[in-house]
Amino acid sequence: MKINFSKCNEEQLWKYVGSHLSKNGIDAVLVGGAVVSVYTNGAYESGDLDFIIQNLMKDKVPSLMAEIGFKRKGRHYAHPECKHLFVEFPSGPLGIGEDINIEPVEHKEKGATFKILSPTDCIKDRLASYIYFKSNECLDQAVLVAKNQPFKKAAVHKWCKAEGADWAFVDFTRGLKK
Amino acid sequence: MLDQILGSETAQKIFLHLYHYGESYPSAVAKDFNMSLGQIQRQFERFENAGILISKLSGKTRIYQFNKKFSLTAPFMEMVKRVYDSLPLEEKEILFPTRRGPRRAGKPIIGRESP
Repeated sequence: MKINFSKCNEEQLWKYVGSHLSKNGIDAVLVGGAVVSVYTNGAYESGDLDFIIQNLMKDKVPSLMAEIGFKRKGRHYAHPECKHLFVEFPSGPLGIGEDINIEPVEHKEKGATFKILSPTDCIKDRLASYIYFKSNECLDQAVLVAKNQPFKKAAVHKWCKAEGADWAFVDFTRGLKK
Repeated sequence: MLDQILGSETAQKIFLHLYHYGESYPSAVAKDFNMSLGQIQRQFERFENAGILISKLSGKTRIYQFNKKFSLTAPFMEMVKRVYDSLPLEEKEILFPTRRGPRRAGKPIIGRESP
């Protein structure tokens, strides 16, 4: 898989990094704001890619990232030719608030496999930031994804209730009507 | 207690401080527990890297709180809560002597150390 580091977007870098990790036995799932970029065709630009490693092979990540030209700078990885995007590996396990039954969507392309949160889980993830970090921009991102992708509205409502934040679902549905 | 599980008494104090105040910062913990700032800062950074804590800058101070979006935080906080709830009120008064809740500017503080 080839990539133009100086011009790539979040989706292209996700597929490039994700396939390299996958080929080397790392089960990495794209989460966070970059998922919004992917599901809105770049209408939202995240600037960073967060991968959660699902298996116990995180210690292999530094050498594998070095193989594709990324250098570690503190908690993130940067590529000298890719000034506009960087990569991070937040701690797992995969989960959104109290919900740990997250089933990522698996994509296959040219023999490579890469995983990403489903649109429904992406919306829950953004609403979690709205609920717990009081981030209004994350509510906007949840709405943006919902307007661009099919998703399970009842599952989002159920999750909000389980988090004790029915009010967030009210705000979310209000955003959908705008 | 938590210090046995976490392998550090400092770590236990940080989590109890965060639980009591809702949010906290390294110099506050260092002041309340009379400990070195560098040691506290390293622990805060360690727990942020682990995903249990998040932080944001407020002026020049980095404020930390529990990362409730992270799936391991709720069960971990439950452990902290159990330890916190087991403390006698008198001990809490000694451990957390400073009022850090919202307070109108100029309102006098009687009987407690000023923040």
